Amino acid sequence: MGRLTDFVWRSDFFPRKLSFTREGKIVFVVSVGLGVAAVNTGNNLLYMVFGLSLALIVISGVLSESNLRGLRCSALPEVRPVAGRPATAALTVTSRRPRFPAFSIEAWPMIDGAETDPARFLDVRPGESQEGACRMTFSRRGEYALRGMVLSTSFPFSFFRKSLILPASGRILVHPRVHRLRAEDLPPASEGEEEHRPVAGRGTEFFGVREFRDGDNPRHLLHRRSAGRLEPVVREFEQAASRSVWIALVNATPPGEGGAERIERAIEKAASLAVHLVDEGRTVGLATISGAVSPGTGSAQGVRILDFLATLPSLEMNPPGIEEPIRAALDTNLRAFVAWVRP
Amino acid sequence: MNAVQFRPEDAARLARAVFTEVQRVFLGKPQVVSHAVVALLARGHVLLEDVPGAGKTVLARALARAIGGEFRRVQFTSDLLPSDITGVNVWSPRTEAFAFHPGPIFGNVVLADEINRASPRTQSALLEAMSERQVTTDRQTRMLPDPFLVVATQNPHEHHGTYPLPESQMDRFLVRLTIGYPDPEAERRIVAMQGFADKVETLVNAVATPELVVAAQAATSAVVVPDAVMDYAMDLVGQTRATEALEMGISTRGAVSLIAACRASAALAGRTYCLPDDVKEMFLPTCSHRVVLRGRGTAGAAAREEARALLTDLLARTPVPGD
Amino acid sequence: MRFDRFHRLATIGTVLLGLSALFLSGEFGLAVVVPAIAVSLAGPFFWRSLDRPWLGPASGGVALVAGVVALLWALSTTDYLYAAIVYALFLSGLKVLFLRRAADFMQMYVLSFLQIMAAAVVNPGMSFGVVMLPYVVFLTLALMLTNLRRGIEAQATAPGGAGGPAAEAVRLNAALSRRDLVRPGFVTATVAITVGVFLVSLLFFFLFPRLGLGFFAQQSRRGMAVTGFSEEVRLGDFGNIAEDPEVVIRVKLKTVLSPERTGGGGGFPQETPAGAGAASGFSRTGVLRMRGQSLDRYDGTTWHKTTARRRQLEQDIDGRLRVDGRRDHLSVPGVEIQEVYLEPMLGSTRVLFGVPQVAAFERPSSALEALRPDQWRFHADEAGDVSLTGPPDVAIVYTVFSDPRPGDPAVLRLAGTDYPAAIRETYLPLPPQQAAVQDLAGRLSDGNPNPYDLARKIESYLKDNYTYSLSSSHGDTDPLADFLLVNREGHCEYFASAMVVLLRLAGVPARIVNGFYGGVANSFGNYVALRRADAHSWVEAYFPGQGWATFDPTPASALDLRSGRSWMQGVTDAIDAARLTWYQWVVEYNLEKQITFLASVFQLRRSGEGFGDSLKRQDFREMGDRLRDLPWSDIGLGFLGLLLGGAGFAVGLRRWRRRGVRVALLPPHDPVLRAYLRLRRILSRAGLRRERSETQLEFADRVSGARPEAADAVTFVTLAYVERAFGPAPAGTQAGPPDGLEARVDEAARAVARTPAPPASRLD
Repeated sequence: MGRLTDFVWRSDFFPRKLSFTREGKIVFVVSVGLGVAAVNTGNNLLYMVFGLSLALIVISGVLSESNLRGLRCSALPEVRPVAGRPATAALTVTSRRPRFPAFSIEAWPMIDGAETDPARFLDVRPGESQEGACRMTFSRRGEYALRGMVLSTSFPFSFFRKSLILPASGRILVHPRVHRLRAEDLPPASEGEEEHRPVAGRGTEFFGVREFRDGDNPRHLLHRRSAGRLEPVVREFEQAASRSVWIALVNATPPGEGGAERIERAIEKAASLAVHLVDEGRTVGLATISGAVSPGTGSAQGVRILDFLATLPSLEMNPPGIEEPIRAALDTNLRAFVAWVRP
Repeated sequence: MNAVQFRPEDAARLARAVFTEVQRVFLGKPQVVSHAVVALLARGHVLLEDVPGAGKTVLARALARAIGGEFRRVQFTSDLLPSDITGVNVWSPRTEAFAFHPGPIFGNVVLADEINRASPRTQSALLEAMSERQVTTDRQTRMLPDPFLVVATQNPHEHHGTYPLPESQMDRFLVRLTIGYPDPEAERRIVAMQGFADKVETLVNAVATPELVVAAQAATSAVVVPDAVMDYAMDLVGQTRATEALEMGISTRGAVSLIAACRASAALAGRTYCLPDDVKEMFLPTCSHRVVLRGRGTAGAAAREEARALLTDLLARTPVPGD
Repeated sequence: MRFDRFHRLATIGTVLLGLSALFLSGEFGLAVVVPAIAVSLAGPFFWRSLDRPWLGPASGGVALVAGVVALLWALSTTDYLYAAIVYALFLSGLKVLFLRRAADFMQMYVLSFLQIMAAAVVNPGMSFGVVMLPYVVFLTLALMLTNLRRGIEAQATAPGGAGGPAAEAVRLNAALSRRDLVRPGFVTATVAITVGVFLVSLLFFFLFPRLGLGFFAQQSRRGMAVTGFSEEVRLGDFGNIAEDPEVVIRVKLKTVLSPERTGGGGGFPQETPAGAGAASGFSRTGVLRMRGQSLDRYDGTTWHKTTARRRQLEQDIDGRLRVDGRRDHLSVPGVEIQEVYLEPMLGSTRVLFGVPQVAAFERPSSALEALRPDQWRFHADEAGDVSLTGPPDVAIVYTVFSDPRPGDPAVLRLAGTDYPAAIRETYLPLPPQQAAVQDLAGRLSDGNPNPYDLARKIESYLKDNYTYSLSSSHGDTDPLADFLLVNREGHCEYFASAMVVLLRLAGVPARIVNGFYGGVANSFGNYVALRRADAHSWVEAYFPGQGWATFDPTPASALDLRSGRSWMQGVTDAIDAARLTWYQWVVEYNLEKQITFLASVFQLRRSGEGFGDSLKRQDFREMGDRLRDLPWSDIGLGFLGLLLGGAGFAVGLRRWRRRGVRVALLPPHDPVLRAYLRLRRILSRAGLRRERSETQLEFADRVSGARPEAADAVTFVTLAYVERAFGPAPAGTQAGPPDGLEARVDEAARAVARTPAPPASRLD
């Protein structure tokens, strides 16, 4: 049954898709029972009630068809969803009908492998455009194909759901999951002393003075000024926005159980790192076996890295020396800090 | 407490006079001026979001001058301390006692420039003073002058080294205004009179006194809000809460502010009762900074525009009462 | 109007109509009816106070327990249908208290639909049809609203909404309180859809083939059957039914009556010149005599039938069943044909009625009927009374051929007294009579008249000297002697019994006959309706060689009073005609009528086409005739009423909705409001309409921009309106409008009329 439904939905042979709702099934069963009862007893009043139920079904079919007529749905806007987290897209439904509003319209993009929660429009008046939000949830990162835009209604009696598929095509890039990183996962900040690659010039510029807060480094206390103000004052440093970081991701499936799972984790971790560092204002680059994203700053750089990670393949083999392409990329900027991410 | 008793008509006259005076130096943006006057009448505060050089200072100074009040200015920096705003007790060897030196907040019109540069603690000191209209230092509470209008500015395009105001704090401003570029004609006049820009005090006449403004504020709160207008406003507020694209709708405080702003808008128009027009006029400035977009937050110019677009759409969809 | 409230009202309407269809059958006591209606009225608005988490499972438990109780009850009373219906009523009463989500509403409608189904079985009366029409309207509306409710719910409770369930509930509530959904567009759509549903239902009803097990069956009308005439009548029982206005027989007269025979209420065999006098059975004013059965044995208090031995009547070659086997009867001019619609009577054997003298019967000629000739059987007993045996509880339609001409008095006078032995044995015996009664009989037969003259004499004696009364009582021992000698007043049974006894004492064979006399000509249905109150008894006397002749000793004036027309008669007639249509075309609709219907639709007049092979040409002609006989004017009137009602409903709903959505800021007669609305109408004609989200002042600005000539006037009037509508009420409650307001409206009208509409004046 499931496969049949699937077939009907995918084939272009049926321009309209019709499915029973739960109420529709009940009404159908009741109608059949009524018909049997009417024929058996010859009770004309039962025939009359039977006629009513049939009329409801017939009118339902006719109206759901006319309720979809003259409606247009906007194209799916550019979205950059993140795997596992619902993404919202605004869809605009426009009625081009001269009269009669359209009721209870739902619209959603038909995307293989995505769960969609449709945009709902209660009441679209003639000539009116309405915008609604549709939510899509993708379980995995990657590239998804858009197969069409679906306009659907269960008007007027919620017995059937009638759907109309408007042609549309496109690709949707789903970014890997981004987690909040624990402190130990983060590469050291500039004022820390833990850098592995000592680089000349810390870039720690004096920025200003402020009152002491919990957690401040006591070594930065300005004792003389504190005495003058009768409260502790610390020196504040400008954040090291200019420090660049390479994220080196080894996208090779490690041997053993759950390798695929582990490479996904690694990709997610690389994505999280990139987002975090870009938000801190750092210059971030990404190097993988399958290619690199040259360093850059700002949110556009974050998107570039996530786009790259979205479709990043994982190498099935893990021979020695596989990290060579990464090291080659890293060598272009020796002063950068390198954060290694291995599955 | 107050000797001067105003009728709403008097409040309207005073407000119009202030409006006209400010217009002398702040050219080409009557809507911004009127919204600022509305904030003054409604005992609210103004958040100006714009790039530097749009005339934020001129607006605040002109307002202060027009109402004959005291103008103060605080430039917010990351090392600004709360006491730098509120004032400090200083040991005076002569009297052998602590004497209070009031901070810049003790003014009738206070320009808080670039508040997002200060630390959250300093910001909250300002915001507390704004809502409480009093300052507490060393367990001593001091009332702020009346009228008390804070014009805070922040540059939405600058993020580095800033502490954007949290959503809950945005709520404390009655209106958020953006000035934008003036039209070419007005801009020419601004440029032409640039030499006088620093002499706002000489160009703007003081047409009121702080006492009169307080009386006008009292008269404003007596403006009638008809049930139908109240329903309309509440309908709009309720819809922001039901809108899918908004994570957080307008709070009850926001609704209170909206109605207060409507009263002031009606008073400014010389009416003793509110119209749906007042609601429509004040809905965007009072509400656009109080809603939180799903997944976007309130910060940033893009989010601001999106929120404005959403609320404008809401206005266009909501039926107006009346025949 | 708030969406939620509107939806709940529509639900109450649907549920109440479902209940009334059931309750109008009259099968349910007040103990069921009152709580069911009360709960359905109040329930939908009290759900909030019942919105407790533990109540849901608790109500499920209650439903389960009630189900067990209902099952036990059904098993003990064996009235399964009744128990099932009461249980369904209980369930719907329970459900109506818990209407929260769209699914609850849908379940409610399913329950209501089940009630309508049950009503279809229990209530075949016209009330079902009367309820069905609004039910279709309400059910359609309620289903559509539920569909919208579902959308609202999905919108408000979409995953990812901010806040927990509490915030969700708040959002849902706010969304359900929207006022802008129920607006003219929605109402128009609803009305159109309702009409569509109704017409399609009708189409299905008339076209769905009536085949299957109920092939030949007629619709049973259980519970509506009238007590028939029994074979025993006790003197004095008649009074109980004398006031009953229920129509039992409807008669259509097929032959055109000649003017001479429209002689008014009398209608008894009377001395008339040339023998072509007043017909015994007919009158144009609707007074009709329908003979039922005769009773022969009298035991002093009660009449019995001893002539019950029956023989089955056989169809003649022309399909008719002759009572006395004489062919020539039906070809004599003056034979009256009556088509009779007889209401269901208890029992499977029913006495057939007809205008005396009944010659032959005929079932409606139907090719299909001919396939099952055994289903209905005609019998005639020894007394010549005809009865019909067939399925119980159904109405019967038959045609009677009778010769209403009274016997020629000259012939009857000469008939003599040469009675056959069988007649003597059956129609002369009497219980012992008091001497005074015998004296009376002797006095009346003084002068030794012939039996015919004697009968006339007794008839007029009783008519002239006794009084008609429904209330007199005569004791149990010898009521007849009491009537004749002491009380001298009574109803028709006493008169008829007295005449029979006096005739028999004088040696003339006679019997009592029961039937109906009177009736009301129904101008809507072109038939005569006879009520139970029209039941009557009269007398037949035997004349050798001539058979039985009819006499009626009851004073005619008394009988005429019974069939007097009241001022309500028109209404009563219309209702009865509608009821007959309902029975014939809905309740008793069958394959034959369906074919008639289809034939008329496709004009299958010629034989030899399609299924016409099995039907004779004559059948089709008859079908056409019958179709022409349909009460077309009634049907037309009905449709007209339907249209008008629908339009009225739409207008009412629109008004109501408007009042609901728009907060009424001003009373409708306020002069400023009227001026403003007039201005708006003028502008609207010029293509300038206020958008719903536009304030009045914004609209005025827009108009001023588009039509600068009208700007001043429009602004003036708008400001006046705005101040009136929103401003604080002036001290004097009835302050007049500003001067010259109407003049300003006129000014605006002129300005708008002067300038042609700019092409892009509509801003939308």
